[in-house]
Amino acid sequence: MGLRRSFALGTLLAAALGATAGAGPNNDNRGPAVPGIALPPGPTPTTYDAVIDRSGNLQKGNASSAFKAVTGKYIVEFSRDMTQCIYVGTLGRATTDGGEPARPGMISVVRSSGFSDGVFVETRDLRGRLHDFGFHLVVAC
Amino acid sequence: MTFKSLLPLCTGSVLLLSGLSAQAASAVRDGFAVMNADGTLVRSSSNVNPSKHLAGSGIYQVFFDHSLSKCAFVASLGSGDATPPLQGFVTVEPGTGAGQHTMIVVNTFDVSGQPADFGFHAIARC
Repeated sequence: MGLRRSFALGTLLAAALGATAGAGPNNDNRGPAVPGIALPPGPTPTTYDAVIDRSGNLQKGNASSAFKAVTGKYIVEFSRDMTQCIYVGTLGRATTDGGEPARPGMISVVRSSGFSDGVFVETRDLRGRLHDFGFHLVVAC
Repeated sequence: MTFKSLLPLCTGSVLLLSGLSAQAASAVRDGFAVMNADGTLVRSSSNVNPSKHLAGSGIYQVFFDHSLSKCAFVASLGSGDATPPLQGFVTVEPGTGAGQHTMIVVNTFDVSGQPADFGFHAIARC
């Protein structure tokens, strides 16, 4: 194999690798296709939900109560022990009455340290400062 | 065995069946949708109808075949395949206008807080 031919092959190979590496915005999730796996059925979770306005009022759902402790900090209580459950929250209003556009922010959920039947929710603005937002919360136990 | 002795058993069975049917009804009313940034509905539960999106608005309307007035919604940014989405924020709220009671409105924003189109996964729990 001559030098010129080897160079051409090397160039092609490098181009192919480069194209592969740069195919997406993030290569961390690349890999061979994985077929779905059939898992044995697990227990059916019991789910709970709550929609809380920015003032901490329970607007709908099957929570038993809710309140705002201080700015951006809320506790939502349910009718059972919540310490072993999973919590998922998304910022959002209970109603769009008023016509103001939705505003983005951040939300985090943990179990309440003071109430075993409670979920503690923090809401923050885009700069990370505690800020009052309404939110939707779904809990599976 | 007398009728009186059977009565509590029958009542218990009816209550159990009622509970099961209520749980099943709730499960049917729950739903999910995975939508791409361009508003394409990638996959969904069977109770989701065709949805709407105005390009560039960051606003998506996901329609269900029943009222969502008693439901809570949660959503996360994501895509319908293994493509990682760009960073941003997402909020959810009930709809307004025609069909408002059967609609989830999902709003997506870029990292600066400006409306921007992103795919997402959304769940309604009723």
